[in-house]
Amino acid sequence: MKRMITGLLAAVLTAVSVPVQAEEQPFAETAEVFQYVLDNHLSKPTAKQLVQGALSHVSEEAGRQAHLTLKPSADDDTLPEMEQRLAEWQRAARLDETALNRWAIDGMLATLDDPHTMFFTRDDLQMFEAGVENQFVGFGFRLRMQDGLLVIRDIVPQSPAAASELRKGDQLLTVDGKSLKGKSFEEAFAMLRGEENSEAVLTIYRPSEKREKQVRLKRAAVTMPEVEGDLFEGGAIGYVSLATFGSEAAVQLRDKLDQLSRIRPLKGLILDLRDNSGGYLSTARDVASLFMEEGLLMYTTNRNGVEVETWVRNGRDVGYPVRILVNEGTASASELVAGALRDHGIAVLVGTKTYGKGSAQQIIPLSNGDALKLTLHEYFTPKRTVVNHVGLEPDLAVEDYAAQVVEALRSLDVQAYRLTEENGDTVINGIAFPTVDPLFKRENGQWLVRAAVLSRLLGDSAVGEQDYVPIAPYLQRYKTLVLQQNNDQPVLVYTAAKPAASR
Amino acid sequence: MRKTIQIMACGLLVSGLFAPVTARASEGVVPYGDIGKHWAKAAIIRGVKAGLFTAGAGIDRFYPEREMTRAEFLALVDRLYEQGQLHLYPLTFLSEHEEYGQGEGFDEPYLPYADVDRLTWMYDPILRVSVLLERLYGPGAIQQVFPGKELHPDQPITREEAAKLLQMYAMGADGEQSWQNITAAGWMDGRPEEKLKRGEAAVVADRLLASMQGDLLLPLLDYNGQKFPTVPEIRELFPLFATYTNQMTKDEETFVHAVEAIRSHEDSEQTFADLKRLAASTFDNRIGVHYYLSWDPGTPLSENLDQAFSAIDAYFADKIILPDTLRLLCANVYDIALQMGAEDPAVYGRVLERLGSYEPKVRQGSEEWQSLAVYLAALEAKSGKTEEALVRYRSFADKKPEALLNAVYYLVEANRLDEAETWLASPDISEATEAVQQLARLLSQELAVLKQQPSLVTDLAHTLKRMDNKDGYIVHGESVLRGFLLKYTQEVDQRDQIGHTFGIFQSPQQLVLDKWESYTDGRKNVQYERDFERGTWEKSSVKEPEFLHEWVDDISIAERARTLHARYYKQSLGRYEVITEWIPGPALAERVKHRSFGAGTVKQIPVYMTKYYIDRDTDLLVQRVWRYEEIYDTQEYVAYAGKETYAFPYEVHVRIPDEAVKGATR
Repeated sequence: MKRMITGLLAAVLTAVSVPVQAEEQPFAETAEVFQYVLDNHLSKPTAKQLVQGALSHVSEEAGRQAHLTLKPSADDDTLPEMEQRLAEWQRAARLDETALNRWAIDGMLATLDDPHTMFFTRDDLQMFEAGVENQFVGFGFRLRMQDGLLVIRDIVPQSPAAASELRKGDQLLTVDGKSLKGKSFEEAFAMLRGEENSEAVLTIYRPSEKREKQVRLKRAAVTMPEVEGDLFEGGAIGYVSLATFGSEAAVQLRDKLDQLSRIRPLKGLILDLRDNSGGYLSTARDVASLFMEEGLLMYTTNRNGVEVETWVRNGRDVGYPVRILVNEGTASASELVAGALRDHGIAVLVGTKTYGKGSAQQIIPLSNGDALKLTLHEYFTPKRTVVNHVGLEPDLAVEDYAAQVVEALRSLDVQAYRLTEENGDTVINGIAFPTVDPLFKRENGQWLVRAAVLSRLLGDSAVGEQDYVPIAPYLQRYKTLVLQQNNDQPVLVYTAAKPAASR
Repeated sequence: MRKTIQIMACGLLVSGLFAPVTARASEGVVPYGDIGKHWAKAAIIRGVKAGLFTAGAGIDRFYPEREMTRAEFLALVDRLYEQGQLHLYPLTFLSEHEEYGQGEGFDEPYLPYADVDRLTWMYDPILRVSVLLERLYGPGAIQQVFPGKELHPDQPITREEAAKLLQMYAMGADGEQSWQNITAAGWMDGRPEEKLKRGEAAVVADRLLASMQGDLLLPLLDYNGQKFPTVPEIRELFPLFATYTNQMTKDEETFVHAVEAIRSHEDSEQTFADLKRLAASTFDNRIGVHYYLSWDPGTPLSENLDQAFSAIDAYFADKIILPDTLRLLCANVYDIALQMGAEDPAVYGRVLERLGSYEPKVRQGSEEWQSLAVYLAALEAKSGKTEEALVRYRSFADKKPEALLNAVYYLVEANRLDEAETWLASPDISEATEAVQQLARLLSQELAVLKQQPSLVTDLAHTLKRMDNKDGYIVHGESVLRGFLLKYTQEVDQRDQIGHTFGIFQSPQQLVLDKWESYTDGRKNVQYERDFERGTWEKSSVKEPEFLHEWVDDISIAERARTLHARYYKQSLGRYEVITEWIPGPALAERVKHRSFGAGTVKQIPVYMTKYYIDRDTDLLVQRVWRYEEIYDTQEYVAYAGKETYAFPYEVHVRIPDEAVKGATR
């Protein structure tokens, strides 16, 4: 009986043929992508679908870009037929091989109806990977638009900007002599962008010194910290935000949590995954391991109906409640972690419905240095919640960016609040959040506040969530709500009622 | 011709692969500020050099008097293992993937403790040690050292716990007597319940490392049939054979450049053309010129051999006694003979005769003679004159450890264990050099282990028989075969001879997993395999063995020991008895040379090892781990490695479903 297994293996093994990739063939890359997609893509595409997609796209592009009429045949449904057809077209129309390959690949991928399966050139790949690692080529400052001005909001440590005399709060006036005045954020971004090691001269205005300065700067690959965070003032609630799930993210998060717990044992944590578009699966698991000793992270399924469980092991339990801030920019690995921590009763999701990218991709290097990002798996949360195309519904639905933080704090039974503004940020208990709209407005001599924030702060839905409301009436109604002034800046102070019973 | 050989030769000639990768702590510099007057200073410094302890920027103290924590000691064990992992490879067969805790592709290993977190410095080393222990001693082995749900990694380690961890390096050790084994080996002293201080741990590691550099854990083990006759380690394979100053003549410069090129694998036709020109001139470094001409990949091996002999002629023409140089020159001849011998074994006899002609030129028993004799003996062994080889090895076994090792090996091969034992205890050896005595002690231990072999064979055969007598069992397995990753469950009904296998696999050509299910009817010799794509079943007859390992599976343990030269070794940490089985490739290949498998005829078997984990309480097989490498005449290299665990539920009843039997398409 012992031999049974090996005999069987032989049967399984011989059933698989080895695809041969000939390097010299002109359409080797198309063939390579064809084979990978055909054999592995989650949707189990047919050969005909891919071939037809490739040929019709090539024909379209040739028509559009080279005014050529190439007629695809409905009979072409195998790889050799596709290669033959492409070769024929190439000969007839003297088309460039690289372009033909690219069109064919784009055409095949377009049939998948899967925006996450992508072809990457070597450069694309580098940029994608840098993005996952939160790495960009630039000067190393972050900007915000404030009253039509571009203001430096933040300087990345160990970047060219950090080594220069630029400071937080400086207003950007020109780049290489070209004025940034009246430019949109996107236009300004395009003007500031450049190759690594290229130089630019920036003119800035520093309000505190009331003078202009010129600064010469080199662009460099800047790695932004994956994790930022602090303790909220006057309590033991921590705040950490995770930018992406790059390879360093889990370790940085661990260090940040340890650092915060050293200041004071935490009684709660807000984990900000808003606009975190994901990253590596292994990082997601390591991040989850900072919140749970052991447990199921997800189920994945593939085209063959094989379901695999991924577990978190040797993690650590958090001894405090966790709120995860989510929005429509929370995608992929972020959704995975948010979904798993919710299913295990570790975290409550606050914010808006998430993006809905419930599929996992693998980057496959192609033989000539390009790469294919290919969807292999769909994943489900431990309670088998579908994420793909659906997104996760938050437990506490809040639209407003600042109000989401307030709601999370309220749900953690925080009593004391101090809301103010600084350089256009909304500052909640000492932590600044980059909001698009200001927290306060002054109209007809009286202060208005964003309704959504006030509504969540007071737990009073009658305030509504639309735009701004005058503060004064609420000062009357709520004895513990106080409006203070600090250097002409309004500060809203509020003490919530003690919760009936702590959770 | 010798281009490939050059690369292989590095492996052949440099048998002492254990030169530790040293951290650069320069001589005389004390790496820590607090060990200057400490009694363990020398051991600590050697530990730093061996890469066991981290020193350098930011680390200025060793704290030799502080108690060592469990985590620190586990990290030390991890580094010791890295230093000498080749010593344990025949016992672990751990692949690189497994060593780094990634498993073979499916389930990643993890620690059975709640208080060691994956994102801490200690996690990876502790996990690696756990994986290693589990491989050596069976499921959950680390729990036999540190029981419970928590490891308490920051708690000081006791000497007894440390001894249990180090037991893997003690031959024939048993978990019940770790402490006795380790103290008997001289690695540790004190009382078992005492805590181990960091300085003391450094000394323990130092002693262990010193004994590891002496020889392999099992010096007589030849797991792949490649080790014997064993020849001395050559440290410098590319010497200049002369001293040159900065003021070199043109010819000297040419020579030095040629050597450099060969040394760095950048030699070309020009390199050897230059050497040939020097050979034809009056250039006086005749040894060097001929030695390096023997490396010419452009000439046939027979010419390389002639050049190698010309170098020896030149050596004797010089009339300067340099035993190390002669040893290298003989090693070179031997190496070329090995290359030629692969095709034509008769070459050994011819080379032996030719090399033997130099024997009268050296004084019997001298260092120079030993340099020659060790290769003469090796050639004798290779050409089948084992008895002559034995006599020669024994004649200088008191001076050279290699001679002793070979002598004992060939005595054991000839089933003369008692003679070997008596000889090792005789004044011949007990009055020999310290290095010889150290090896002799190890060899005596190993002979004792070898004497237990017949009882191990009986035990293992008994356990496997018990398994066969069960009504059935359930297998959980993970393996890699021909690049395919497989994970499966198998229900075996032995009464009705029916098996049901189901699981998942991944083909090397695919990135995603596939399903797999089948039934086997052992009485009718048929198999039903499910086609998941089409939702059908396919019937086929059970075929002849596709691979060698299927054929070996049917050979009883007793017969393996008797006819296949299988060797068995037992280890235990208490709960399981772990028996490792090695079948040397050459004997196995010889046995099946006329047999054709589905994959072809077997040409070579680089590795054939299996580990059996037997529960001491139930006497049942709980786990099996294997690594087989088979090379077929089709040039196909088939590697099959994996792990299976076995469970014996009260009842295993498997029925082949009707849909499989009736629905089978052929």
